[in-house]
Amino acid sequence: MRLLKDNRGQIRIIEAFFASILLLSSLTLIPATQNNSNDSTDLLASTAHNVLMSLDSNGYLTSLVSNQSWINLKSSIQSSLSPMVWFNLTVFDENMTCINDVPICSGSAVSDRIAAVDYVCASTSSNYAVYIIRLQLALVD
Amino acid sequence: MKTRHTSRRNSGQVLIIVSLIVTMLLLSTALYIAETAKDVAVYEAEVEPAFSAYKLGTMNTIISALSNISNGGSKDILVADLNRFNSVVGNHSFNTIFKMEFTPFSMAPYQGGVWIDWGSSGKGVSSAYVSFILNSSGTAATCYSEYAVNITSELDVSGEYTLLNGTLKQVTVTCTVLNEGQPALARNFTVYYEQDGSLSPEEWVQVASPSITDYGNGTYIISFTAETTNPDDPLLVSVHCHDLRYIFIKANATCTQV
Repeated sequence: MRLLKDNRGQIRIIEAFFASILLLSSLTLIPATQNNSNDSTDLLASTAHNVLMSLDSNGYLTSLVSNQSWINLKSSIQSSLSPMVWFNLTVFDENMTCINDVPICSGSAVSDRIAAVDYVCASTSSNYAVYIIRLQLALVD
Repeated sequence: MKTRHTSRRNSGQVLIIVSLIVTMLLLSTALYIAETAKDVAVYEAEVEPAFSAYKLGTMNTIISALSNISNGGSKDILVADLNRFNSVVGNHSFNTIFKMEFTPFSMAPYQGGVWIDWGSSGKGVSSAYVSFILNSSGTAATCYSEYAVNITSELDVSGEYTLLNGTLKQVTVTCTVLNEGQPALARNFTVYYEQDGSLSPEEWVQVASPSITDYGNGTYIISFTAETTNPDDPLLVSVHCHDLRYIFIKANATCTQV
């Protein structure tokens, strides 16, 4: 009888351990689920950064913005992206005043998951200017 | 006997509580490690793509400032432009606290991060040198980067001439344009020569339409005819150049007779 009573306590301990392991495993599952949902947005944000950086690496981006060549800017962005990606680009000056008077985009948005990247670029010309370029990307369903 | 029986029945509960405490300790340790790992600054963070953009921005800012200074602007523009860039970046880093520290290089020959040397030895230099420390603290990670940007445009000039008749001389000047020590292309050249070969007073004559041969590798051959006051006057040439970044460089040289 004594032995039986003692075993009951041990079983409770084992139960408690199982419960804690369950608790731990459920906790580890939560961030993994969140990461899956953010993967496509992260990829789009990374693509947006890469596109803007490659255009800015030789000063081409700032020269297009300085000359307000919006059509050329649209063509450059369009040719850098896959046709399956929707984009919308907005150019701001230092005071966050929108500069582009025409929309620079590839049509209307088709997905509710849009990645937006703010890119700060500085001009190389002696007439110094800093622009903030906001590039929004979404996947076409 | 009753006391012994109660303590024996409670021993299981105590063990459960102990096991829960151990679990809590394990959890808090795991959380502590995760949080500490998040706070450790990542050097040369490739995890923060904005860092590369900021580096590019600082480089473009220095090119702009050097272009301004070499074309007659104030040297203060370098610090002013970098502060302007820093301010814009700081105001538009929404999910991170961004901090940029910069130090213009002040060891000789640099002064306030700028070195302009347009000497008479056939070599002209326009250069800017600034070191940076970038720090960003975000919800995901803390990033750190330390680097220096050196923008240098250099012009090397050497020349020779042959006497034509009287005071006329056929001059051939070889120019080499370098950006950061690498051959680079020039946007334009303006060539002058000293009328009497003496710099007191300076009487520079601009060559109207020199013949310029571009070898495409940063080397240019400039040919022209010069007329000095006397046939024996030494021939001093001054070549002014803008590189493709619109940075101005000037170099003076004395041509040798062949």
